[in-house]
Amino acid sequence: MTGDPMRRLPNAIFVSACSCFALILGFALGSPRASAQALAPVCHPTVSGPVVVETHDQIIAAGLRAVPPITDTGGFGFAWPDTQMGVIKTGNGYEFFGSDGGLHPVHEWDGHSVGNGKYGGVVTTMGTLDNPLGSGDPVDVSISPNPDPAVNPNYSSYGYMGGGPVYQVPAGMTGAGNLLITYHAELPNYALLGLAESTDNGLHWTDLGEIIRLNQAYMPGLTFSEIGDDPLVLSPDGKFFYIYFPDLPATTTTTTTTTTHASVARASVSSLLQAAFGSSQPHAVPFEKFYETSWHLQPGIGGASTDLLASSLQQYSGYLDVHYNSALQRYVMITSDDTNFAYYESIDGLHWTDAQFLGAFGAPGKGTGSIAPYPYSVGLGDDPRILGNPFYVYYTHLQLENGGLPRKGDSLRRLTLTCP
Amino acid sequence: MPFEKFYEGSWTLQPAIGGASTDLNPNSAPPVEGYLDIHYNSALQRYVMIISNDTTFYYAESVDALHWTLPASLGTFGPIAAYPTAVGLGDDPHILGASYYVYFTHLPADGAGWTDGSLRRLTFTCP
Repeated sequence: MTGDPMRRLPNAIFVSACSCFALILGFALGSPRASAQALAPVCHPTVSGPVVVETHDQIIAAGLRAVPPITDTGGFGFAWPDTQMGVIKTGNGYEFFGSDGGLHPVHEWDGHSVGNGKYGGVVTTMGTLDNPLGSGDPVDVSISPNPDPAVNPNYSSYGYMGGGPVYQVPAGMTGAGNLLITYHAELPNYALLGLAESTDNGLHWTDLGEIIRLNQAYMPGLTFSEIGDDPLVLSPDGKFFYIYFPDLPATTTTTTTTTTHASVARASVSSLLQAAFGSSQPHAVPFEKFYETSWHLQPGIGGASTDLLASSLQQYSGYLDVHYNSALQRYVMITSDDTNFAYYESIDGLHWTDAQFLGAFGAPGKGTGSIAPYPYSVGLGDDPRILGNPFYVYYTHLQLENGGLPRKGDSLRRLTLTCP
Repeated sequence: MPFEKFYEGSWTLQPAIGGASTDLNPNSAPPVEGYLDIHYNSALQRYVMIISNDTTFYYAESVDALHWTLPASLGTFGPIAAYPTAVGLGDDPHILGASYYVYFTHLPADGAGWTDGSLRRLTFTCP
């Protein structure tokens, strides 16, 4: 590992989003359709104009209230949300989870050690759908190493570790009420996904280990390839967690060529919950990537995967967000390539409709404009992970500022999608 | 529990499943590759590696199991001489001594299946 500080923003944006995702979009548009039997959509959503739900000033103010207090952020300030978010409903409102992309140095606070020396973390806030930050103090904590270092030998090598999308274990299942979070971690110019758990509603997070690595192995000098930070989604039969991500096929060069538009991996729900919450030594279980119709060939860590959107007429890449929509009785995927948002549907989570363009919500220009990463859909019913009609899509809006810090002009924005 | 591959001086970068790895003996000439069998040898106080490329066996030693001597040829034992397994003669067969056995599968013809296959054994001795 190099001594260079790693951070998702702004470097990740300039390299991965503006270059990688835009390159893929430009390259793939107009590519021949592989299949003429794409699933037909049942919804052609109308999209509201973006609403700013948290302004830059509101984010800065929340950072000043954060506990433990943020100290040396590496110049980023309170860089929230630096991943897709997680949302659960409580008796009083909503609880939001997202990464603070700033540095979290190890230091003493309130009689104990906090921070892990990495960029990123998990911020928990109590608020409403119109004000996710609320008026309380954001809890800004780092993901702690697993007590058993063998669970994740790579923990010490990450420069970034934060999330993200949360799954709250339902009543009647192992670990009921506890939280699983998907975290985004980075080696130099190499992103991966892992899981962490919280048994105290987000006050502490414990690493459960890696679940997804790109097909391309880490090597120094790679061009950064974004993997996002994606939610766990229940399979149609409820027996598996699905997780969607862009995969980077293995190559012998260090130059990123093209990622898949959407790949998926799965793990048994009962096995994962038992390993995470029913074991004296909490850990994740292996995920398997979906590859050429099989779930039994390619490991989540380093395996190859099938591009689920390879045959879409219009092809967009980038951040992926998948949720079940009970009104449509279909899965819905929202993608953002930092600029363009697209919409897809699926019955089985594997076969998807063609993309429907939702609009351009960033304008990166030549690196001095704005971008719109980290889309996250939220339902308006009792379980925010289940969408209905309408539903919200939150995203982070960032001014690129030629890399200027700390994130001047950033905001949390929201779209409303409605099926007429 | 996950294993980790050794990669450019680090044990904390590359998962065993799918990760990249460093060649611990990149300088053998000609290149030596094939089945690997490694055991600690208490008489030498070193690790010992036996390599079979299906026909020729090679031998290397290491103090730390990471830095190895250049493989030295031990001779040709095939048409096909695969799966070398060193066995110590003391209480723990995993630990080798000054004299030890190397078992291997011998097949008289490549591509003929197991016809006339046999399990064979060499005796290694450090004079």
